[in-house]
Amino acid sequence: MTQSRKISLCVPVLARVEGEGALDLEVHDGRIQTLRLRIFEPPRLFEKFLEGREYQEIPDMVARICGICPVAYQMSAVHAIEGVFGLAPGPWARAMRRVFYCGEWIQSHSLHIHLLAAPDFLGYSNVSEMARAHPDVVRRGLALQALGNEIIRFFGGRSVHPVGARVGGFHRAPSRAEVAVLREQVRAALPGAEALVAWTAALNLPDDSQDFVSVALRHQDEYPMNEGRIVSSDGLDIPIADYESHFQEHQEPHSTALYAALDGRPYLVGPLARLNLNLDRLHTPVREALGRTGIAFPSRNMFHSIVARAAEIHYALLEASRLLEDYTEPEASFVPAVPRSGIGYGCTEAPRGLLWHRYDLDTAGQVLHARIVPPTSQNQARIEADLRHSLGTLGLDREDETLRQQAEMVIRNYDPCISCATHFLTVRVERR
Amino acid sequence: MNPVRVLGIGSPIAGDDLGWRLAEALERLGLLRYFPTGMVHINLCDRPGSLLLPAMRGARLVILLDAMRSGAPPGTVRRLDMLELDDSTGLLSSHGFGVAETLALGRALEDLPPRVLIYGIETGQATSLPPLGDLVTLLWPTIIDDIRVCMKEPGVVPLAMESKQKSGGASL
Repeated sequence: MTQSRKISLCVPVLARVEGEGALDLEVHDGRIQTLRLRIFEPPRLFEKFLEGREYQEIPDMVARICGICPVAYQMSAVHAIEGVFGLAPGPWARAMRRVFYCGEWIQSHSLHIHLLAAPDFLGYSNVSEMARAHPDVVRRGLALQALGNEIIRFFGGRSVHPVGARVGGFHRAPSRAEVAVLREQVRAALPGAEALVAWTAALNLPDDSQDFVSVALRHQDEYPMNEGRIVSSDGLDIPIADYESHFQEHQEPHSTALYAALDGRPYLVGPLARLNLNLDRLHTPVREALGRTGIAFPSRNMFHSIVARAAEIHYALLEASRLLEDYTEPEASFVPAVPRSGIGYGCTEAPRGLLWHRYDLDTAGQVLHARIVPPTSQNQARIEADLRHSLGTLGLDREDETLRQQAEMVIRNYDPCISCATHFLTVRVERR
Repeated sequence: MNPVRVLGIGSPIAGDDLGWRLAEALERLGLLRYFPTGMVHINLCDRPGSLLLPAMRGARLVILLDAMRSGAPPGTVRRLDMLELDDSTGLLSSHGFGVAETLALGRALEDLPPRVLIYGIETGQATSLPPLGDLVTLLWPTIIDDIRVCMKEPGVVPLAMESKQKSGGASL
């Protein structure tokens, strides 16, 4: 006998952009036969849009891919293009790009912790319910998010789809006086960020150890953002240009998002993978704050992602404060580019994980071919593996509603960027 | 601080820019000149998410112009008081934190202006929308009335503005 039930949830009155995800679960004799996280957002074809465009246009165009992590797209792109041109933007641009990126981590992680993840662990159905019981926690989170946005606006001119970055550096260098004000804001937020690490660790997080491969950048002496080699928890250590030799993307019929695999296996990118592979690159106060939590990192519990996000907020504030100290205005905010043909690679750590770009440019610096591998497509197979594990552990004989809640919690934990708007999850359970 | 704020919600991307286009049209047609200087401010918000809260903070009345998809015929305008919106949301991604979610959060944190009105305009397929001018004609009188009602509340119009009004400085 086949039972088929379809549950649609939470269609908002005011929709920003249409977006839809669904989970198909087929259970035979108490075992999962099929589990598919279907993403049927229309393909956005950004890589094709970039073809024929001049290199100067690329940073602003790729910033449009995501409203939450535009800095990541800009940074991967400018590094790739500068790689083709043999252009070194110099220490000022390098440091300020890092601060720019800190802003994005702070705003994105603050959003995720407070608006998405924490309500799950505190037993609320959404952040509004949680805010009634924990108003100060939510206010602290919103203040951190606003500060992250302010840092992005500071360098980018605006916080959504910033326009300040360019190949060779930035369009404008902020003044010493402006930097002094921002740095004070950053320093003032540090105690709250440190407290957030302890607060996330004290949540009632499920104890759910899983076997997965972590993949992240690793830099010779700093926590990775804009530079590094690609490393994994099972020994991979390659330059970013070799990504395509080890990682394969493929299409599944049920999803418009591509799946990525590392030598045929799912893998994890994002804050937990980053932290697992770069603990020794954290600033001492962050390591100490993590040490006080009693959680042993590297961790195999995916639900420790929320603690990793909090630790990265703490790190990003410390790093931004450090980089803005003794700020001096540069003679020029960018190094002029001289176009030449070639292939360039950029790989940076978006809030959600590794963001890999490749550009083939002609002699005028126009794009012949572009390839972008975002974090969510890299995590998609891992999310499905996690769902398979988590739903199996929970018990497949549970009510559909219970399965749906667990599935949503698992998916939320990865904060997938499903074309900037997955408004509801439809769960279709078929039991035989 | 402007007591009344008209915020167009959306993005520059075609199909998601209706709130912006309406806000720009209201400004172009002179909504600000209709009221004392500094009384009304029009702004465009690019998918603000929870940053809508600081954008509204300090106002007495906020009018949000936003696209809506509820199944009604394209061009249908729904005027909602924030109190009519459901607090329940079930998000999977921070990318989907929209106006309804933000208003629910603001209500929980007691961080909302006394009055927030949402003009939701049904988009359907962008190509099937009525001309922008028709939508503005539809919105104009009710938005003027909304602002007038707000201005009658004690303390909304500063004394300096009231005297200017009485001397004919603004056309009400």
